[in-house]
Amino acid sequence: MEQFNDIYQQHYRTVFRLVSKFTLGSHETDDIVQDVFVKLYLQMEAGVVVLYPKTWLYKVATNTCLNTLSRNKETHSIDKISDLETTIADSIDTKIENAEQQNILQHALLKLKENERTIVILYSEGLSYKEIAEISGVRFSSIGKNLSRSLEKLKPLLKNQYDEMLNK
Amino acid sequence: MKCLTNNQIQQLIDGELSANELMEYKLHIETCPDCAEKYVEKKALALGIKNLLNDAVPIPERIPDFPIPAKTTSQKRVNRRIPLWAKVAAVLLPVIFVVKMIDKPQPDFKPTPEEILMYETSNSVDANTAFQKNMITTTVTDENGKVIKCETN
Repeated sequence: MEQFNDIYQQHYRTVFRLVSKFTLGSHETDDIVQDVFVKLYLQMEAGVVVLYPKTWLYKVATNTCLNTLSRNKETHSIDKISDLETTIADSIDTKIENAEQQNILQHALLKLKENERTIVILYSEGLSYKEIAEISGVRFSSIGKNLSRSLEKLKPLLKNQYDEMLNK
Repeated sequence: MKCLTNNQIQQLIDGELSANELMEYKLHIETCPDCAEKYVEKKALALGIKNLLNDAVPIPERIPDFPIPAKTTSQKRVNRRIPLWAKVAAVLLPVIFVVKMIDKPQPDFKPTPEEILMYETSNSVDANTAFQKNMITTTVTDENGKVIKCETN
């Protein structure tokens, strides 16, 4: 499984970053990332040839995140608050700031529809419209319109962070 | 040219246009202050949100070792696989059953003259009285169409 090890080393950080954007500070990130690579390992072990590992990993990671989030939807907000409290209690100032930032971002992203959130997160990964369409299942011709609408929806929700960043 | 839509401005920001479209939209932006302003705003918004998201997530310093899944997982998969003979049997058995049912010879129906008789019984039985007190009328039609009435008490 040398080929798998190469893919793992090459794409671990990318998958971790993508999953973190969906889960934002949740302790489930590591589990989801591991789950994604276990799926890849089993596929390769069964002799399935994964032609485009990067796209495959993005697709599987996105679907796993969406499934996990929808499964935990009802308990998520409670978990989030307790997670944040734990983080605040245990961390130094920068970590608190980061946790707060993640919390605000998470609340803003959760205001979007599932496919809008997926498009914004994949867009932030620097993927092309074609790749975003392939991974999210949204029509290629609708990506620009959806993306523009989603970013406009996020603007008032992230106004403070956004202004702060522009003033830096 | 009409003003650019949000979709077209977004595509222009992300470079998702053909060469002709790119030239056309750029030309428009140079001459239309409204679209130019929208373009600048949207570009800043897209970049800002991209950066916010990227800054909010940590990047692991080291890549953890991959815990190779236990062999039992793939073993289970092998066990769960249906053997070929079972698949063949699952297809063949219903086919054989249907063929047998179709080929089954139908018994010849050759009724005797007595069997041809049609019986029609018209009884006006009062359920509240004893069976022996009711008159039972039976109408019999023979093969020639002659109707014979039989009354029993």
